Amino acid sequence: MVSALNRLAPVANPLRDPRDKRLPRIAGPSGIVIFGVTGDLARKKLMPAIYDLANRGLLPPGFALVGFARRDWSTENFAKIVHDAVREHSRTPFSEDVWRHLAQGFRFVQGAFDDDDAFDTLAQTLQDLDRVRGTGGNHAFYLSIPPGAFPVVLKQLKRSGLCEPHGEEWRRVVIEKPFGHDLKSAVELNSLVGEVFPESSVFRIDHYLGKETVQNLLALRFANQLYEPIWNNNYVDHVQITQAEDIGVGGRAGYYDGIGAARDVIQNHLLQLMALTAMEEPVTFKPNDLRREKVKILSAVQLPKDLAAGTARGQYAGGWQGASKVRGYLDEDGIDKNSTTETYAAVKLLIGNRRWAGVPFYLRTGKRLGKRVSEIAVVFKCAPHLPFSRSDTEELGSNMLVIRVQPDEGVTIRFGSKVPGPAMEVRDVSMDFSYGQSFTEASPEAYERLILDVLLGEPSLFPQDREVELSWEILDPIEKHWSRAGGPLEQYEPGTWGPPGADAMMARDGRRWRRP
Amino acid sequence: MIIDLPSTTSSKINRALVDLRDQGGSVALSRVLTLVIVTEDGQAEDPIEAANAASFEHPCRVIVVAKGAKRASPRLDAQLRIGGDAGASEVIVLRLYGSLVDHAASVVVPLLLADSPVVVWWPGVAPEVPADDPIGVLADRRITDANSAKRPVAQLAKRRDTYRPGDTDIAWTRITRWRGLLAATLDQPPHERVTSVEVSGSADSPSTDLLAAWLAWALRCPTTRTKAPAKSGPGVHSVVLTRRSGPISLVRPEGTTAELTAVNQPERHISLPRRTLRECLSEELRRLDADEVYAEVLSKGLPQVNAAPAKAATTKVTTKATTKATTKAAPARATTPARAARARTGPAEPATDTAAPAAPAKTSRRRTGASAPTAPASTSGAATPATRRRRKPAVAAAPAPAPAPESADAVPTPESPAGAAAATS
Repeated sequence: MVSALNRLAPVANPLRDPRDKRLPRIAGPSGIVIFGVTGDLARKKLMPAIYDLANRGLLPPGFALVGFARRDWSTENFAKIVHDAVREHSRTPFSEDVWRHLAQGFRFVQGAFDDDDAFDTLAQTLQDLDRVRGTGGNHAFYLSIPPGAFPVVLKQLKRSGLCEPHGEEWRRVVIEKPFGHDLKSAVELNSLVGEVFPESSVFRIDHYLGKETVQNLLALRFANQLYEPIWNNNYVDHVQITQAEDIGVGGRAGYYDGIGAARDVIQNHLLQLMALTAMEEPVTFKPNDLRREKVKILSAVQLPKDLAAGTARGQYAGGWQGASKVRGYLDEDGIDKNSTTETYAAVKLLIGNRRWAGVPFYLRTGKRLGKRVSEIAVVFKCAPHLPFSRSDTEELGSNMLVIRVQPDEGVTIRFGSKVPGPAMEVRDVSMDFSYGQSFTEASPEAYERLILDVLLGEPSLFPQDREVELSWEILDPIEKHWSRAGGPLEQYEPGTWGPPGADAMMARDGRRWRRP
Repeated sequence: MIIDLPSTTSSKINRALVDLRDQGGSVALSRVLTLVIVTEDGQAEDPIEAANAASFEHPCRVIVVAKGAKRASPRLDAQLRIGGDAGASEVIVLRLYGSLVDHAASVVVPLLLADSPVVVWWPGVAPEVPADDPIGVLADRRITDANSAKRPVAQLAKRRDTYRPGDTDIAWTRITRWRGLLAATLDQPPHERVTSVEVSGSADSPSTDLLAAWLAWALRCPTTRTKAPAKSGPGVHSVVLTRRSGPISLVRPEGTTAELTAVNQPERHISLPRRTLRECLSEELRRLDADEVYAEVLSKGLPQVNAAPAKAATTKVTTKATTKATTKAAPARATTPARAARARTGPAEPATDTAAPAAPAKTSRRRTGASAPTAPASTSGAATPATRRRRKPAVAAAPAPAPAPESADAVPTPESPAGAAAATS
């Protein structure tokens, strides 16, 4: 209701000429309140991102950061916490000047989530900030809290009137995944949030969407003539989307057990990547047009008829990984010996539309795999006829276009080329475009981009409620099937690429996993 | 890795680069542009450092053309810097001696990367017409720096006269953050028209002139560019946008912190240091198409600064006010031309000289009629931001109609009598 007006304002602003591409979009007067400010995410990502935004000159003068937690801290203590987090994790160099101005807007409110007085103090603090610091009544509430705490915090925001903007102000809520535990809980969560904030004020963070390379996927597909003609089932054999980590659950055991790799990664990141890879071209890149296409493609996703044959899962065992000895999942602290939570999940999905009929999308994710990598591999069909002799093309695989989301950001095309020598032997080579580690040193972190978009009221990079629900509609039957199948789960060696069941799943279709 | 190739030719340099790639597997071949830096021998290191730093965002091949002694016999010495010494680029430093100095283009052409845009940067003295320069002709984008000229503000006029699409100047890049902040202030309600603008900066700051020109062009209202007191340091000092409900002012009293003030808003501070060369270069390399806004600001905005207000804007009001102004302004006019001449810093333009004194008096008349607070603003020039700063509570609470008496103390130039006369009459 209010944000529409804010979004109109830039168009009418005489200082914003659409041809003036240098002009940065600086957020208007605003502030952020972080609930759960003592958590890892706040320390490693949020606070450094806010500092980096200030350092790049994208935060408004008079920006305010309010922390809300149970700790018995004064504002000075809080400022020191932020300072240490920023010194350790920020991307841009530390500037005393920028820090000093930013720190003048720090406040800390001590309280528990069910403490009425604490929230009233918070409301008072925000009013003071509006008056003294000039935050203009525009506040974003970042809920970096466990899912169980959502109802009580939202209730408090409503009771204390903090969610109510007056006049031309805005109030927004930012929530982190998980967005529910299954379809039912996700719908409940959406309606719970919806009672307090209108959908246009809800920003769900899927930090993959803030990454440069993920946005580059849209540029690659829609800015070039080269790829669109082959981006369909006439030429594409299948698509593999991988997100692998080399770490185990570590200290997150309490959170992870009962959730599992599929809910943690496939439901959000991988389905979003799949949507961006498979969607039709949007009419414009305006948020509504983009989201419309994403919803359309997600609603076309179909599960394989035989879920047992079309999915695979496993848990990492103990063993040697990359020069250290590590414990298996079932031996980790806080994990029940009979746990059926998967640390590796792979699913095969199909899309029921003309473009993609018959092209399987294989999504896999896991912990303690070979290395930390995220990529999308579009694997093309083999040439229908090869004029070479069989032995000459034995080493020739399929053409592939691989978008490396992290760590070595870039795009690779794999194709066959003649091996130098007297014979006509053909082997795969790579044509590579690499941002590389050093080249993206100057490109912003995902959280910087996303936090700025929250402050600007730009919703394109945030999945909306319908997308979240559709993603759960896809995953729910798989989770139900797995819970019926029960344990124990297949084990896989740490440092390898998953359990044998995953390879079997591909082999049934006559395909193989790519080694990233 | 640094490789020296004394007394060499372009084709030998090319061969050496290919060899390096074979041997050392030089960092990714995905260079997005060629950056040619034309400078004097001995002044190359600072620009090279800025280019290396910018290369993390724009991996490129950097060709530095360093012109050495003309009296020597013609010779080309090259130095290749790859890897750690060159950031994420490869740097080729070409030192030219003798008559070769005038034929730099012949050395550079073979070294330009295939299929990539070419950007030329003159960090120091730039040619008269960059687009006609032998190396400028090769480029899609030509970057000059008015600040390095002997008379920076006069240089700006030259840039205007010789502009071709693809030209840009670092004086324009330096003010991007100011422009962003000012645009952001107008994003917020109330969305009122700005009725006049005053920009103040050091006398030799072309960035200040460009900032004033941009505001004059975009906001289409009377804009004055005044000289800031010497103690405020180099560069832009302050910007005041006047609106019906009250002024918005962005003031940087000393080099790093700016204060943003608006009516009914507390004073807000933000870090606004002078931009480094590295940042400016990074921004310049981000978009390689012609900067149309810069072109229009240069050609249409600059002449509007310190000029008479456009007729369309003032027809309604002047009919009533001019009769008053022409009679009452006579005494004010007597004192203002001297001050106006001292305050004006840009290229002396006789046409605007006579028009300008009338403008401040006229507009101040009009504004006192409407009981606007900034009546003294245009006449007391650089003093106003300082006085306003001292009188913070007054400005925030209600438009203060008469800071003029104090202005006598704050301002070094003796226009206060005129200012007081204008305000009180």
